[in-house]
Amino acid sequence: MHVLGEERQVRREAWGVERELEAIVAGDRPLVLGPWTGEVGYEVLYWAPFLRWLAAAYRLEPARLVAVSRGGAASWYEGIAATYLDAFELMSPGEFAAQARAQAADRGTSKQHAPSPFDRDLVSRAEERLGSAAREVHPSLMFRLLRAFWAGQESMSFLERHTRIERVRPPHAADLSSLPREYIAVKLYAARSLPADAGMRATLRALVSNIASRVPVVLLDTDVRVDEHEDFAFDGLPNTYNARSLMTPATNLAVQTQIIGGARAFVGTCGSLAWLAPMLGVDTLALFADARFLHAHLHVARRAFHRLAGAGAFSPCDLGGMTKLGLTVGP
Amino acid sequence: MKLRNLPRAAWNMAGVAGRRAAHWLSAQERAIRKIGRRANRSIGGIADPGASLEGLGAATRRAGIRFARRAERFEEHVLAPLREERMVLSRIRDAASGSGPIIVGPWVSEVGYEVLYWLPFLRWFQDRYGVSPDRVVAVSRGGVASWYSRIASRYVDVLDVYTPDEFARRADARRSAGDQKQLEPSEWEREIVDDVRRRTGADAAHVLHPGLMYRLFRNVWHGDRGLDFLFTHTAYGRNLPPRLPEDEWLPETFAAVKFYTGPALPDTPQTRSQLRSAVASLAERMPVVSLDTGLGLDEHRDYLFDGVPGVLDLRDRMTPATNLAVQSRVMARASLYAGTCGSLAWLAPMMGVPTVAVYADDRYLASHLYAARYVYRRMKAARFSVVDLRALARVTAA
Repeated sequence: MHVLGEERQVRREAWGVERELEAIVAGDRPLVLGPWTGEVGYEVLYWAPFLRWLAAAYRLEPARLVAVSRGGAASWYEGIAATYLDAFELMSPGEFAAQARAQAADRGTSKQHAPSPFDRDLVSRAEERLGSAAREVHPSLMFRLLRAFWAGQESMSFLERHTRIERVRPPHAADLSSLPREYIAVKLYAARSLPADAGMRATLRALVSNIASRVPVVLLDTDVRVDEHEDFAFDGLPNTYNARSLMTPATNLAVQTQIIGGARAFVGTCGSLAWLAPMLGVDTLALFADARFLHAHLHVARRAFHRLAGAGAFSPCDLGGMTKLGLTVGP
Repeated sequence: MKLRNLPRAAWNMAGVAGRRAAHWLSAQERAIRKIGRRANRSIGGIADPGASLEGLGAATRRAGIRFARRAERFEEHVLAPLREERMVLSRIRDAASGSGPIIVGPWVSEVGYEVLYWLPFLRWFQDRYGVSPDRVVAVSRGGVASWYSRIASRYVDVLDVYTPDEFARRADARRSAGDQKQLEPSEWEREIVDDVRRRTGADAAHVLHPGLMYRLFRNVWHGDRGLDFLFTHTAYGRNLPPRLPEDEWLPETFAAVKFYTGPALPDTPQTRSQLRSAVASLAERMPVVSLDTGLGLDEHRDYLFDGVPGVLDLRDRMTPATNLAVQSRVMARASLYAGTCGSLAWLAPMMGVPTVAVYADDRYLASHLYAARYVYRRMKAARFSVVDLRALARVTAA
C-alpha cells in the first residue's frame, strides 16, 4: 500500500498536468506551442517529441497549432504544427538574447520551468502576428510532466508514453554548393560535460584534424550566442570548411540541420544537435568528458535511437576514458 | 503486507480509485457543461441543434476513449508490475521470517548482476528485515567470500562441491534449458541448495533465490519502473577485499585489465587489434596486470595479451575456486581498471578504482549503464568512463 501511495504521489503531478493540457486544448482557438527559448537539446529530445504526443493524444489538427521557437527550427516541428513562427521574426536577435539572458539570470536557469514576462511578450507578439487570441501550451507543462522521470522517480515507459521521437526531415534553408559533396559535420561547444580547458581544446583540435586528414569537415560553429554554450573554434585547420557565412541568426538552426542532414556523419558535443543528428538518419559520435550531467539524457537517446527505424547510429564517446586508456584521436 | 492490513489496503485502494473517478467525472462534467454552453450558443446563432448534439456526443465519446486508454496503460504499466512486486516482496519477507538460517543464492550466473544488483539487494534485505549475518549462508562460486563478508557469516563455494568441468557443464545445461538469468531455481540449483543444507546442517533453512531479485528489478531494466524503485530496494556500499601477503609481488602502481568476449564486445579481428593496441599503449605508461583466467567457466572467453611488453598475468596464481577472489583483490589495488563493460567493471568503481569500461555494442547495456552511473554518483564511487570501440573506429578511420 505504501508503494501504491508513493506511486500515486508521483503521478499526481502528471495527472494534474494532463488535466491542465486537456483544459488548454479544449475549444478551437489556435494553440501556441511554446515559445521555446531554451536549450536545443531539450527541444529536440523532449519538447518536440512531447508536442508530437500531445497532438496525437488529443487529436489536435496541425492547422490549429503554431510552434514558436527561434533560429529557424521549423523543420523540427514538421508534422506537428502547420504554422511556425520564429522568435527572430517577432523581435531582433539582439533583443531576444538580452531578454533570454535576463530571464535566465532571474530564474537561475535557462530552463522554462514557469512562464516568464519574456515568454508572455513573445506569445503576445505571436498573437498579433496571427491576428487572433491563442491558448498557450507552455514548455513548463513538459518540464513539470517529465520532472519525475529526470529525478529517477518515473520510468522510461512513462517518458515513452508521453513523447514520440520520430525521424526529422532536413529543410532546404541555404545553398550548400560551396561545401564539399561528401563531408563530416562537426559541432563542438563547451559544456559542463565537455569543459573548455586547454587540454580539451588540444584534444578536440587533434580529433578534428585527424578526421579532416581523411574526409572534409564542415564546422558548424556560429557567431550566434543565444545560450551559455560557447563553440570551440578550429580555424586554420586544413580541409575544414566553415559554414558561418551560410547562416543568419534567423536561419542558423535550419542551416545546421540541413548540413547535418547531408553529412556522412556528425561529430559533436553530447547534447544539443547530437540528439538531433540520429533523427536525421545520420551516424553520430557524441563526445563528452564527464557524463554526470548527461546520463538520463544519454539513456533516453540510447534507447530511442536503437528503436527508431532509420535512425543514425548513436555512439556516445567518453574522451576521459579514451585518454586514460591511451587511445589517441589525433593524427 | 500483513493479512490484518488487507481490509485497510482494499479500502485505501478503493479510495484512490474513487477519488480518481470523482476527478474524472468532475472534469467530464465541466467539459460537458462547456460543450453544452457552446451548443446553446450555436443553437441561438445558427439554429442547428442536430449538429451540436452530434458534437456533444463526439466529444463525450473521445473523452471516454481517452479515459479507457489511460486506464489500460495504468493497468499495464503500473498496476500489473505492482501486483508482481507485491507478490515477490511477500516471498522475500517469508524468506526473512523466523529466526532460522537463510541460504542466499546459489549465485551461479553473471558476475555483473551479482555485484551491481544481488549484493546491494541482499544488504537491503538485511536492513529491511533486520536479518543478522549469523543467520545467512551465502552460496556463490569462485572464492567470493569477501564480497559477502558483511552479509553472511558462512560462505559455501559451489566450486568446492563440483569440479570446474562439472560446474561448466551444469551451468551450460542450465542456460540452455532456461535463461541466462536465474529467474527460477533449476534442478541443478536445487541440488546445490540440498548439498549446502547437508554441509551446514541447516536442514530447515529458508532460501532467498536470485530469481526473486531478478523478478523484482526486471521492471526497472525493462523501463516500467523508475530508478528510485531500485534504490529503495538496494543498499550500495564499499566492500574492499583484504590485502594478503601473497599479493605483495604486485607492482606499486599498475593497471588491471580484463577484456572478455560477449555481446557487448564481440570477438572480431578489429576488436582484437583495438584492444591489443590499447593495452600496449597502457603498458607503456605503467605495468599492466591482465586478469584473464583461461578457465572457460562460462560462455565468455578472455581476450589474451600474451607477448605485449609490460603485461603480467595471474593465470598461475589462481585456481577455479579462487579465481574471482584473486581477481578482485588485485583489482582493488590497481590504479586503473580497464575491461569489457560488465562483470568486474561494475565492481571496480565501488572499490574506489577509476574504471574504463569498453564496449562495441551498448544494446544490452543501456539500462545497466543508466543505473550504474546513478549508483556511482550516489555512493561517491571512483570515476567510471566508457569507451565505445565502434565510435572510436569511426573517429580514427573516418
